[in-house]
Amino acid sequence: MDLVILSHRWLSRHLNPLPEPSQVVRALEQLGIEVVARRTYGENFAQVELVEVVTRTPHPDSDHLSLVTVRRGSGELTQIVTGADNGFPQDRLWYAPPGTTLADGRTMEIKMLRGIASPGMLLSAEELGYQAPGGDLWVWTADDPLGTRFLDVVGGVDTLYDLELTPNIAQYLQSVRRIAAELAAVLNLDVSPATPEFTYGADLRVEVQSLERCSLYGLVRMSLVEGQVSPLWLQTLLRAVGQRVIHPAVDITNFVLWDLGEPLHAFDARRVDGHIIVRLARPHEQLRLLDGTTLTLTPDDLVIADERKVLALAGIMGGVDAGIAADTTEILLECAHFAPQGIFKSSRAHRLSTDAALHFGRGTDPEAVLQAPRLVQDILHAAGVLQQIRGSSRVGQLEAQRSVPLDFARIRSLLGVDWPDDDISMALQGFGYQLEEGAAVVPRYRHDVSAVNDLAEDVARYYGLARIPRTLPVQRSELAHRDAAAMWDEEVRDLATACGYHEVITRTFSHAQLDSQFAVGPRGSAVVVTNPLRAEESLLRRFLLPSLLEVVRYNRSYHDLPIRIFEVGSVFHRVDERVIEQRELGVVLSLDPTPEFPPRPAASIYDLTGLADYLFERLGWSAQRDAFVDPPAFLHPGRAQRITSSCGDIGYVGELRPRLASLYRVRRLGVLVLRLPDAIERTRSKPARPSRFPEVQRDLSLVVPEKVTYAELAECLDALKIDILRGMRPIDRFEGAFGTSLTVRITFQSDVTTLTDAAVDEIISQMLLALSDRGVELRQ
Amino acid sequence: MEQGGTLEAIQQTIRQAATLDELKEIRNQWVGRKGRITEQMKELSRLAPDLRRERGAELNAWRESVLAALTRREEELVDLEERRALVHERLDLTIPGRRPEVGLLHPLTRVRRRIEDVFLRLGFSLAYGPQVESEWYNFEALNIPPDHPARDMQDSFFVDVPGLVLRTHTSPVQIRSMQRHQGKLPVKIIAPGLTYRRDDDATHVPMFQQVEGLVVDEGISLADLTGTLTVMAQELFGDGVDTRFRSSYFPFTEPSVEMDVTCAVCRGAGCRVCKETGWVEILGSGVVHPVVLENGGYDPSIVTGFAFGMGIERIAMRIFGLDDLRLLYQNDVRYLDTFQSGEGDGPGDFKSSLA
Ligand SMILES: [Zn+2]
Repeated sequence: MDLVILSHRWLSRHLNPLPEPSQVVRALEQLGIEVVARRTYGENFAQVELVEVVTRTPHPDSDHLSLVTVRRGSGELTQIVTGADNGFPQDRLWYAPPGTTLADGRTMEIKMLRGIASPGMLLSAEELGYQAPGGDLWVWTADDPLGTRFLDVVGGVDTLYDLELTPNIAQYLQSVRRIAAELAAVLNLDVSPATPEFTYGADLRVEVQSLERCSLYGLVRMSLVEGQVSPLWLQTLLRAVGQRVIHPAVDITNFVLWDLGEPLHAFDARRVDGHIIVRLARPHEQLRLLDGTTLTLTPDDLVIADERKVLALAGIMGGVDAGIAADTTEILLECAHFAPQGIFKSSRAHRLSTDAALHFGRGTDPEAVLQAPRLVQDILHAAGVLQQIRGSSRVGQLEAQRSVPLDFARIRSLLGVDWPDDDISMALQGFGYQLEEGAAVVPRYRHDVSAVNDLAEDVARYYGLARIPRTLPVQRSELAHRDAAAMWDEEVRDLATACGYHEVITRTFSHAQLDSQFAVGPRGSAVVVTNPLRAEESLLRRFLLPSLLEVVRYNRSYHDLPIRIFEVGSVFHRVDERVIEQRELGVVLSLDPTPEFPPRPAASIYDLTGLADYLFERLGWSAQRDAFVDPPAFLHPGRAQRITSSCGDIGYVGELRPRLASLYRVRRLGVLVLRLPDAIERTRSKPARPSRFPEVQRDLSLVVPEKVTYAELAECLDALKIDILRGMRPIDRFEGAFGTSLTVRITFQSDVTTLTDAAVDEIISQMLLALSDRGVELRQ
Repeated sequence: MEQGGTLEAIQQTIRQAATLDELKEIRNQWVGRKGRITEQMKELSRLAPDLRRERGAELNAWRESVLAALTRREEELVDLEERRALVHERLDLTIPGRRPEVGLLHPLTRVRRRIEDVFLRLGFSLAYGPQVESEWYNFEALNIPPDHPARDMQDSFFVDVPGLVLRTHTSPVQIRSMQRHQGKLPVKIIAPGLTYRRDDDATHVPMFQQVEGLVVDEGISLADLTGTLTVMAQELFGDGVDTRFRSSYFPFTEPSVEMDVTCAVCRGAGCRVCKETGWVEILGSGVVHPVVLENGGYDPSIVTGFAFGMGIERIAMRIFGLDDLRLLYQNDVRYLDTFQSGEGDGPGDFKSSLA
């Protein structure tokens, strides 16, 4: 985005009548120019007043200070202490009374200078931000009455608009004149006529070696009157938009830059050897810049040179060797059209983004090569700065104007409007297009226009988007669909939330040490971010868990709350030159007891194994928990399981190693990680009609050998294929002198009859017999 | 009746029984196996038939009456005793209740789903693309050639695989969707997803979520774009919201427009949040650039389209009234826990929150 300061006063040079600032803001916005802020310029000049010196006497206690008594507009006499060496009786000066703020930000007050009070200051031009000929204090020679405010002589307070230009608009609207033309078009105002063309002679030798890079080159030699400064109105405009005033030859180029949008360059003619040559740089050729640095050029750079040396990096920045100095009076004014791409690349390569480079890099108006010297000539002549034009020359031709097909129906259908051809023509002509049969001839400065869509955009800008109707598309109806993998993610999110876990969203960045610490199973190498914002974000995570652990750490460092969080997020790895993106579910549960009343059962790793089973069941996902042969080092070796499906290992559930957990400010932490499939065949649950006969429950207290797991016990009973066995669940477990005691509650039910005690007893004995093979006994 | 008094007197004794034990004693005394009424009934057989019938009826009436009185009193005593016991079981129900352990979706997920819901109802399908994207899809195909200044607008993260970047917007899904449709019409999708830019401050985070939208068909216009987005804004923010469109620039749309909605803080009057304009920018959009249509395999002389892209965070900030984007990615569970009600879950919740 380009930020540009637009001065309302500057607009007034080109618009008639001048609209109100609020109208300007609205019109600018309609044109697609964002007004970021509106400010004023010159308010501090309202207190600066014209006074006349009555007496001047030396300061009794200082060699270099004087006491100056001035008469103010009110007739009142005021004595001011000054160190200036001019300002004598009858001189009229600018006086800043206490309270005035100067250009450099100082605020005037009553100051004691060697024992004598001085209310405010008599001003130099520089203290007001201006340039004036002559000595220290600005002696005003115009015959304004005493008491005149400085604000009055500069034309009152100016309104400034801070504009943000989008790249397309910045391609041609960095010009007050062109902004004025667009405002005039949409506000139906008169705009100042185009500057007449300069009549180039052929009496300066110029050589352009690369017409592809510089299609048009004009050079004008001017003699300036010595010791002159830029006219006050021009200084005021430049100051308002934040430019410094330097030298009439520099000021005028700055003025033309913002007025016409054409960067000019002025060389000190005294310091140019022979004729000007526009050519590509030679390898390693050097250019010294104003700031003392030296550029080393390449043959990709276009330069302006004389017969002995390089004078400037064309269209970007001038060198110090032929730059304008305070005493310069003979200038060579360059006015050229450079190919945008070349300028853009050079300014990038050398990291020089000057105003000139920004303008040329986007494309300037070739016609400005013809107009700009005339504008300079007229202004400098009127200001008495220009003594004489001493030769000029022009190389190259204006390129032919482009045109784009003009299809009214197409413009209407792109915009969705029914505006007649005439309205569309009026809009385009308002923006400077010449219309021909079936074609619109594009103004030379509109590098952004290439097709009918661009014409449609201009028509929309001309009438304003508020006039575009708002409709819904009329289309054949089609069923909208969701994506299966994304739906799966959403279901997982909903289930995890329903199970009491909070969703978090973490950044996908990680770093090597963390990423490999939590690696599980084989996975390709990590994708490295080559320009990370910080070292901890130097690669794309291959595993989700570390991101969640960081969330645990963050939260636990602020509050001692239980953590129940999950994320469905992407993980990445690379296989050769391909990047594989997969989605993982990560769930983290702090297992530290939290005192609570009314009490709740403490969180345990069984919450996560249960969650896994629940997810498998609800999602119809054929996955199961299994023993780890070799659990990863970050997991508790006795409390971890891997999770597998037909795709092999897809995740794990377990407790983090307590030593590791403590790094995340928890004593015990349960984790569940699952890689989510893209789309899988889901098993469907098979609802069964409930039996009409009563259930029978039996509780068995068993002594179980250490090596026998509950799963084996259940498997053993399943193997008996008892049709009336409806279910079994543990209801108590404890360790005693005899080993592990496990009490299970077993439920029996028949579909065809009411079970008798005898029948159940019979089954129980079968079960106990089978269990005794595994060393499981009934506890006595 | 002899030895004990009248029926009235027995009932009086029953009513005065203070405990269930006392009552039991009275029951035994009168209607138990050796109770006085029971005993007298046993002796009826010794009486003459006439007298027996008369006396029998009388005794039965007594018995019924006493039993009824006993039951009534027993009921009263049981109730009284439970009431006495329950007084000791009183709980302080002002203690905070045990809240159901139910989690919460991240506010951005909820807002994303709301947006998806609006567009699904409008007939848009959901589409996706990779987060690590080829430069061609992310830039060139979208009319952003290597030297284009717009590449500066989107400071990209690069990876060590040549030709790939972390996508800077969801716009590459436009091209992918068109290619997937292989010339069929209409293309009508939205593409939510994560995107990345090298920015980190109160209003920018390096990883953020966008929703892209694309419609390609014959006769699609700028008016269809503004109409569709206006409907979206009203669905998300309520019927009272006003929208306006401003000309803008994106390399992949022409014309390009940005949509503003009325500032939620000042409701259009102008305040600090909206820089005194009364409007807040909410998304960028435009008519699909012909080059983009061509890159998606469509003939721009036959079809047209519109596209838009919005930051979910920005919509969420507007809906929840947030001023610091970073908090949404800090994952402070206490902060996330404050997003309990109002937005994102039930239909209509959004509107009430802004009413
Ligand atoms: Zn506001």
